[in-house]
Amino acid sequence: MDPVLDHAPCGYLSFVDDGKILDINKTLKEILGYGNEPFTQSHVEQLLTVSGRIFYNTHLFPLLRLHHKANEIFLTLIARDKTQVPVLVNASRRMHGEMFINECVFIPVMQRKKFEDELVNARRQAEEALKKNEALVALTAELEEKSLELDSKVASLLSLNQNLVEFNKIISHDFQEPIRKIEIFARRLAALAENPASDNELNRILASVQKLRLLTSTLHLYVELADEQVSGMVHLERLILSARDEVSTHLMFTDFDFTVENIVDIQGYERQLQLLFHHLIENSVLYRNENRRLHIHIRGVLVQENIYKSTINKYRYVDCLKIRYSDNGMGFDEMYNDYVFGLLKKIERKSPGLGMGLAVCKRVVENHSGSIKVSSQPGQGCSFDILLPVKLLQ
Amino acid sequence: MNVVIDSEVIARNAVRVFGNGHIPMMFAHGFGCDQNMWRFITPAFENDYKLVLFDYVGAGKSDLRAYHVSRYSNLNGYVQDVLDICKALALRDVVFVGHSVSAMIGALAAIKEPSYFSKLIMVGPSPCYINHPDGYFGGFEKKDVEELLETMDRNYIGWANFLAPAIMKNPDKPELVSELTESFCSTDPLIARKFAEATFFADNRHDLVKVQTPSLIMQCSEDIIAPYQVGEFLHRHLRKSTLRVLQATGHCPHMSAPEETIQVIKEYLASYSDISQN
Repeated sequence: MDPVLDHAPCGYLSFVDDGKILDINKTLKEILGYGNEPFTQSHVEQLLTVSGRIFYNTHLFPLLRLHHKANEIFLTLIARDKTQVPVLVNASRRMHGEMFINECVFIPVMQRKKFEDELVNARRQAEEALKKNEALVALTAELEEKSLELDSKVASLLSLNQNLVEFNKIISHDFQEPIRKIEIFARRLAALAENPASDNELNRILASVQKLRLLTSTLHLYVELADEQVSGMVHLERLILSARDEVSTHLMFTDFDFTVENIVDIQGYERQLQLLFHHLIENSVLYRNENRRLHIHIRGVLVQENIYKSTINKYRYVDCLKIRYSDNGMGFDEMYNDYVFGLLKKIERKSPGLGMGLAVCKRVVENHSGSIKVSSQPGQGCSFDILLPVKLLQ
Repeated sequence: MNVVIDSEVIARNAVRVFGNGHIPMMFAHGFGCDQNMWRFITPAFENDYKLVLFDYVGAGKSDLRAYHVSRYSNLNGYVQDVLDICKALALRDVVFVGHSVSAMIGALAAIKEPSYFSKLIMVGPSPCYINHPDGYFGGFEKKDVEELLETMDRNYIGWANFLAPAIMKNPDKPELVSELTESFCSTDPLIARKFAEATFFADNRHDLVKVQTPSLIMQCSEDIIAPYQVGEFLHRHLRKSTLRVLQATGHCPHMSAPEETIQVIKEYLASYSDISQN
C-alpha cells in the first residue's frame, strides 16, 4: 500500500462484493486496536456490531451495489478488545481490473456521537410531540364528526328496529289467526265436499297454508336473530357435526362425504352458528349433483384481518377463523353471488325451500361481525368463505 | 376489510407490469429497499413471465399519503398490499419471489388467499429474527434489534446528505439521479423505523404449518440476518418446501450473486414443470 494512504488520518478499507477484505490501512488497524498484533479479520462483517451487520446488509451494501456510493453512514465497529468504535463512513464502488471493489474511509466520531445522541433524542421527542399533537387535533375533529354521524345513525336504527319489532309481532301473532281460520274452514269444506275436483282445490289451499306458516315462522326467526344476547365459547367442530346430523336426519339423506379440518373453538352465539351450518349443509344436500356422490369439505385457518369494515383508513387486526366451506353440488352462475344472500331469493323458482337459508347465514355472520362470500361455477359446486372473529367484539 | 379501488392500488404501490409471458411472477422487495433491487434478476425472466414489481406503501415511489401507522405497524398491512395488487391485476397462480421479510409476507398472503399463488420463492427468509427461550435460534437478541433502530435513527440525521451529493456530482448520469429518487433513501425515516420494528419483532413461526403453497427456501452461506439454522427450521415446518443453500454469502444474493440466484430459481421452476408434465 502507498505509505501516504497507509498513514492517512482516516481509516481505509477495501473489499469485494462477497465481503472479503482486500486491503486495510495502518490507521484503521490502529483504530481497531491492532498495534503490532497481526490483523486477522478477513470479512468486512467481522468488523461490525450485530446491528451494524444488519444495517450493512439492508442498507449500506444495497446502496453501494445500486448507486455505487454511500456517504456519511454511521456505523459501529468492533475493536480487537471488543470495545465499540462509532465511525462515519464514506464508501464508493468502482471497477478495478476484472472486478468491482468497494472502498471505504472511516472517521471515528467518539465526541460527535454524544452530541448526536442528544440530537437524536431531541428530534425524537419533538417528532413525538408533534405527531401526538397532530394526531390529537385530527382525532378530536374526527370524533366530533363521528359522534354526530353515530347519533343520527343510532336514531334511525332505533326507529327501524322498532318497526321491525312491530312487524315481527304482526307476523308472529296477527298473521297466525287468519291463517288458522283459513285452515279450519278449508278442512271443514274438505270434509263436506263430495266432488273430487273441489277436493283437489282444497288440498292446494291447505298446502298454501302450510307454506304460509313456514314462511311466517322463518321470517320471525330471522328478525329475532338480531336480538340474541347469550354468547359463549362454541365448540365449533362439534356444532358443525351436529348440524350435519340434524340435516341428515331431517332430509333422510346420509350418503355423502363430510370432512372437517382445523376448525377451532370461537366465541359466539351457539344457536345462530348451528343455524348457519344447518342452512349451508341443507343447501348442499338439496342442490347436490345427482350424477356424483356429494362431498362437503370444511377447512379452517387462523388469520389476522382488519375488523373495520366500512370506516376508511381504520385498521385493527384481530384473530379470525377463516372457514372455507365447499361442496361439489350443482353450483350456480357467479352473477348470482350477491343475489343468493337476499331475503326470499331463489335462483330456481321451483326448487325446494323458501330462499331464506343464505339470508339467515349472512345475518348470523354479520351478528358475529364477520363476513361471508360465495363463489360458484355451474356444475362444479359452491365455495363459501366465512370469516368469523375468534373473540366477539363488544 | 376496507375496500380499495383497484386502479388506486396500481398508483399507490407504484406497480409495474412488463414481460412477454403469461404466468405472473411477482417480486417483493425486503426491508430497506425498493423494487429497484430486483433489476439484476428480472431480465432473466422477462421473456417467459409476466413480471409484476411494486413498492410497499412507504417505500420507493409508493404513495406516502396511503401510509397509516395502524395498518403497517405489523406485517398484516404489507400482506394486504400484496393481496390488493393481486386482486387489482386479477392475478392467479403467481410465482411469488420475496426477499427477506417479504418471503414471510408472501407466505402470510398465501395462507389468506391460496388460489392467488402457485409457488413461493423465498430469498433469505426468516419467520422470527429474535432468539427465544424455547430454544429457537433466530440469530439476534432483542438488544441487537434495538441497536439497529438506533443506527437507523442516527443515519437519518444526515438525511439530506444522502441524496444531494450523488445528484450534484453526476449531472452527466441522469439515470442515476432518477434512480436516486426511486431509491430507498427517499423513505421517510419514521416509516422505515416502523417497517424495521414490524420486520424484526415479528414472530410467524406458528403460521408456517398453515402454508399450503410449495416453497423454495434460498439460504445464503454466512447470512447473519437469516442464518442456516433458520433456513433449516423453515424447511422442517413448511410442507412442500425445498431448501437450497447458495454459495453466495450475505443477505442479498440477488445483488451480490445474481447469476447464481437466477440459476437456482430457474432450476426450481423447471423441476416443477417436469413434475406437472409427468
